[in-house]
Amino acid sequence: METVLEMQNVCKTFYGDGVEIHANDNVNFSLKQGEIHALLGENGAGKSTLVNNLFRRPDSGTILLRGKEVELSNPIAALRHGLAIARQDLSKSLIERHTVAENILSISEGFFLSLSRIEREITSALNKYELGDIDPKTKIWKLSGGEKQRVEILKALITDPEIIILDEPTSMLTPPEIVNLFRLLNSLRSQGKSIIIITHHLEEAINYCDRITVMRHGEVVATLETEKEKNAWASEEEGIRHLATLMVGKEVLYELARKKMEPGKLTAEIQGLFATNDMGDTVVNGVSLQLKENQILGIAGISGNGQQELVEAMLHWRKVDSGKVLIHGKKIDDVSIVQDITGKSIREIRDLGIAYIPEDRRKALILDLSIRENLILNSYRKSGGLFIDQKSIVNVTEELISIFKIKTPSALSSVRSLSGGNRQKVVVARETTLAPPEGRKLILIAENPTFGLDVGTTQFVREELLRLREEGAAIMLISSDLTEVLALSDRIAVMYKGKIMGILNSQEATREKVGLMMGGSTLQEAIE
Amino acid sequence: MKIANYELIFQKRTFSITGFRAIAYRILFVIFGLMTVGFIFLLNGINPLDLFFLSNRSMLRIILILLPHTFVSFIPLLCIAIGLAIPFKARIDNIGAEGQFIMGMLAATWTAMEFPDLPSIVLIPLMFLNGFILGAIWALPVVFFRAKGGFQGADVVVSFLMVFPALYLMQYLVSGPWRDPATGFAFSKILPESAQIPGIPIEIYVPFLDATWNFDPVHISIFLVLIIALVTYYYLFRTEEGIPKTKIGYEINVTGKNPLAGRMAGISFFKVILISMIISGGLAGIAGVAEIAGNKLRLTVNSAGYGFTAIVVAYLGGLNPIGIIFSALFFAALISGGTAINLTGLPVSALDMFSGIILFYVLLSEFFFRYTIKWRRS
Repeated sequence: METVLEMQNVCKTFYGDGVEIHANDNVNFSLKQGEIHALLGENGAGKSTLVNNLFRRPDSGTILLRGKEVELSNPIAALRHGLAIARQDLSKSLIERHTVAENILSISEGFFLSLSRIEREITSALNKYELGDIDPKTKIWKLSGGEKQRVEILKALITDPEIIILDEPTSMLTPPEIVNLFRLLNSLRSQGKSIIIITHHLEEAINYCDRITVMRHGEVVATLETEKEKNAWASEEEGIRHLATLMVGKEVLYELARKKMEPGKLTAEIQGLFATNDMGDTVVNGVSLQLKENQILGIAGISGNGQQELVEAMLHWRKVDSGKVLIHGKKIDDVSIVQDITGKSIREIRDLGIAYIPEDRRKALILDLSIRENLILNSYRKSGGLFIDQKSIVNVTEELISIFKIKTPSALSSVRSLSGGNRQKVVVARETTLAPPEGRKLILIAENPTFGLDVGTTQFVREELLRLREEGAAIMLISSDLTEVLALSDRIAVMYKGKIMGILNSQEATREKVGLMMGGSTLQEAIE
Repeated sequence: MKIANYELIFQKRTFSITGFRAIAYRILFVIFGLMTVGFIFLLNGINPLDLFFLSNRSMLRIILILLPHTFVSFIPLLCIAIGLAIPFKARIDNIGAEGQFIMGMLAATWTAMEFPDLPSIVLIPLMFLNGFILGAIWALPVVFFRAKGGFQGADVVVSFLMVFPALYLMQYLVSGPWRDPATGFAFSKILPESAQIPGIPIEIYVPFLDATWNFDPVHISIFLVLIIALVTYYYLFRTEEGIPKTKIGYEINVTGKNPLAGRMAGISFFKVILISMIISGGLAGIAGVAEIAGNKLRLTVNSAGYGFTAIVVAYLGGLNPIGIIFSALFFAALISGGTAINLTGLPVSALDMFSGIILFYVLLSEFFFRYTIKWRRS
């Protein structure tokens, strides 16, 4: 079959605060006429960046349409060449205050525009593609998540493009709607259209797509022909497992010496927690968990399944809709007490000895202040009164810098001048040395603590977590890196769409079981 | 950004510029500013070198002759700018110090008229206290709208808009209830003697200028203001081994550089902005009291605009009280040097242009403190 679209050696780099993120690193990708091509990968693997390169100029690399080199420098140019996209982030792609018709008007060309003509076209297109009933005169904000997504898909189809790109089109659709969508894509394929679909759902890729390209860390890992592979796989499960391994990757790890330890006392408890994300959708759906001393509780799951919101709700960063977060423990007089920290201020919560290593480094570091000022962010208010105990702070920070081997000429250099690994060491040094109130052990919440770190620092951070566990800390490790969760955790809770699918012991947790549960299987199904 | 074949790249500096290099940079940018102003004067047929330094009526000479006058403007400028540096450091843009300054003047006048029989030793501190309170109250709306509202720019908008009620209130009081029936103008009565802050009774003859410096107009509030500057510096700004003396000083630093991380660590944004705005508004109020009771002695319909000039002063001083002492002196000198511009026959507004251009260059230098710029052929 003819190749309609080819991307050769495409590179795109984003510049953050002193770091370069190679979102696409010499990516080669091809799309054939009349195929559905799935693009798989974890969050941040570079899938959306890759397709976005068709609507803006990449840093380098060539784009061939039917063998001819083209320059697609803006969305209009792409549209003229017969490319259309349904984007992932609907809040950016659709204008909430405008109607459906006005949103679609934005991609139509010509000097005289007739809204009523577009409304008629929308109605007929909705019928043709069986995308359900949506009144073109409704404002976008009145639509449900699924309806918005269907409008976005319609926006891609209505120009009758040759190449259709769908960036996570099924995230808000119900199962029957998903079946409908793929039926529609099938019929478009038989008309000779070519389709790229980005998805997290591996079974969609296996069941409906002709070829699958897997990306990881900005590079293409593999491109598979589904039909060929299906013969090699014994079952759909094995296929999912194969793809998951390709997506996550098997990193070579040093041996981590995880000593056998009996779980200690219960120190924190989450009871039936519900919370919503910024868009108002419930993304933490009745989560109950227990944290015990001397134990690492791993939260596995593809990122974006409510992990972030769960942590934010625990720390009172996000409103708790219902449910409780309880802290167990004794005060100095040795009486057991249970404190409900739901709704307390962040300061009160942190003063109970709850340390936090956020995934987003902006939440943890003040880049323009010195390393010393960053290290004392928790401890500066330990001394009473209005003043800071300068002398003891100088000693403590010098000690931390040498213990944690933060490479810097001086404690007074700004954190901005440090490398990514050393920046994370500053956070780890500060949070792991947070002093809990007397009689309590540390509770540490670590969100993807090794994300984006080099091998050495990754190892360092992991060993630090294990050392804390031996000292009695209760650790909640949220990570989308399955290898990390399996290597470190005593118990593993798998989160999928805001729910805990099940909790496994480290002995019974295998990559396969956890992987299946990350894709939505219950514990029972995974064991079978 | 692309210009023709070249690409401009703005990059954040990894190392901040501090110490003498920072001072040198600021002086350099002031010189650029003076050169730009000079160029505009040149277009108007006036030799800037003559105007600045050389002639008998040069700005430099007039500034030196009017040195006591310079100190009079120095007092409110310094006091307001010190107050502004605190919220500025926490990235709260209080651009409405003028309103808080006016409220201080009103508080002074009201207190003096209400309690004329109190002895000076009680009355004057009471005026300062009331000035501080009223100035701080005038700054409070900024706190609530910025901390509790959803709009990030509320500090700029609200603080600026609060200037006008203060201004019109003053105009109403001066032309209505507080008007001095003895004059035909919209003036309030002259403050009772007990409410007047004494001057420094020193006269010096300066031979090389052939002029006499009479320091009598320089009221002793100058010592109060200098003490405020030093105390603020010691407790909020000075760092020892990189650590400020007080917790609030540290919290202001953190909030200014990354409020998100501060919030995550349990620093209350509301508390930081509340404290910094109370100090800021209060110090502007104190400046207003000093201006009325030490210099003007009566309210008029105009305020001197020190509240706006102080914004530039605070930035040129590098948001550091020690630097601000010098930049306040510089701007106070510019104000008295403005007389020289008037003598050239240019309109009075030329002076506004002068400080406007200097402000522009000061803000530009702030940009260069944070970024480097590179060219690249694309």
